[in-house]
Amino acid sequence: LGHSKSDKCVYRTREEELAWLARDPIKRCRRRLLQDGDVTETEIDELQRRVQAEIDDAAERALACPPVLEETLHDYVAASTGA
Amino acid sequence: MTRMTFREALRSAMIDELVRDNRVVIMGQDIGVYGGAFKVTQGLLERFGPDRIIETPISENSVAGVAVGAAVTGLRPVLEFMFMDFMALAMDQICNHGAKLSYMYNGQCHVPVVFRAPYGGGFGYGASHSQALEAWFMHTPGLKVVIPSTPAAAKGLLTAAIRDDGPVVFLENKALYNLEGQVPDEPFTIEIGTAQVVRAGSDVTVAAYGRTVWLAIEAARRLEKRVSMEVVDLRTIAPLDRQLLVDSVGKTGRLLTVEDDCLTGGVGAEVAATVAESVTLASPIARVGCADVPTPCCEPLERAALPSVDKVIAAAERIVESPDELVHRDSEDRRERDPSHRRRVACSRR
Repeated sequence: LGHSKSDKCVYRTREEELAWLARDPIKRCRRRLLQDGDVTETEIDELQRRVQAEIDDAAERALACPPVLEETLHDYVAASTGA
Repeated sequence: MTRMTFREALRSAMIDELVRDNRVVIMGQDIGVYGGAFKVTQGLLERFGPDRIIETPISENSVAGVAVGAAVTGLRPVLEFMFMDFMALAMDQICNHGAKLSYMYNGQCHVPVVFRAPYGGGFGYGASHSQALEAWFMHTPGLKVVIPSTPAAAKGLLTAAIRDDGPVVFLENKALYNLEGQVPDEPFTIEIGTAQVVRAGSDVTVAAYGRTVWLAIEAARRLEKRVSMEVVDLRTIAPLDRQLLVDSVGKTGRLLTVEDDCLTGGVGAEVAATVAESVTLASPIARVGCADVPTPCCEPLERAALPSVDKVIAAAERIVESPDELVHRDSEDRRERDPSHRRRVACSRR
């Protein structure tokens, strides 16, 4: 929590932090979906698993990428004007 | 004299001026309890209290307006921007108001405000936390733009900036905050608008400022057996010390500029034009600066984009190697490497 890893969060109390954590919007969304939506616990778990797999896969692919080439330094600075 | 970091030297200047002049106030985001994003203002709130050390919301243009207004009506604010990039949010107050009010009102008011900001890349902070945008401000009449390279200069120039009756943009390269050096204990000023020859030489003038002064000095050291480089620390890019530049290049006949901002329309371009207008050069001018790209986050690309000691050396060699070769550069290793050397020397003997 906080702005960065070095943020000691001196501008708010631990109690305030916990109060907001209790209102975690992701957890609330899950509860709300189960309550009002047409979804089951299993479906949400499956969705979560798929998202996590997608993230893991992206991270794995990024780490396996060859080093970036210096020649790409200017790519996309400006839109291509076509040949 | 006391050995201290660049960061401590800046703080020391602010403390001295806060003590000396009760019109001085320090403003900015997280500059109080947190001590500033780069800890430059650490401890000031405890010592001077919230009336002098003023925490501001994340609203750069409004806060810059408050600083400009406070300056016009009698205070001498020093406003810290967390990153120079965020000065873009306050350009209206800095450039359309702060820079011009004195002129528009025919000198009936003054705007003694300092806009302090960390600038520059090299840390993987990415395109919106790494920029060197000094040329924007250099291009705006009414602003002075000051960029120190050493702890002593940080203190002397910040003191001068706070005492200046006009708006000063004061830029601090992030790479220098931990740099240590000897700093006078007493308050002192370095005149804004004066450059300094930090290393004398005879073959080529290298004009640099802030962090790039250190690249130039290191390049000069590595090349010293073959090329005699004169390093000029601009210290202020607006107003530019044109006379010193012209005098130096008048002596060396060559100019190399080294800057952290993007080359196109940058500081080096103005230095080059200034020199080219008054000096007959012995070889083409060379410029080393940031590539014309948003600062990449990716490390190899960021390194490729930014100036480096190697790039300064390559540029210096390129212009000193031009057909108008200097006679005295005749080291043995060079003759072996470069068979055309003798011919070039012969051609250039006058």
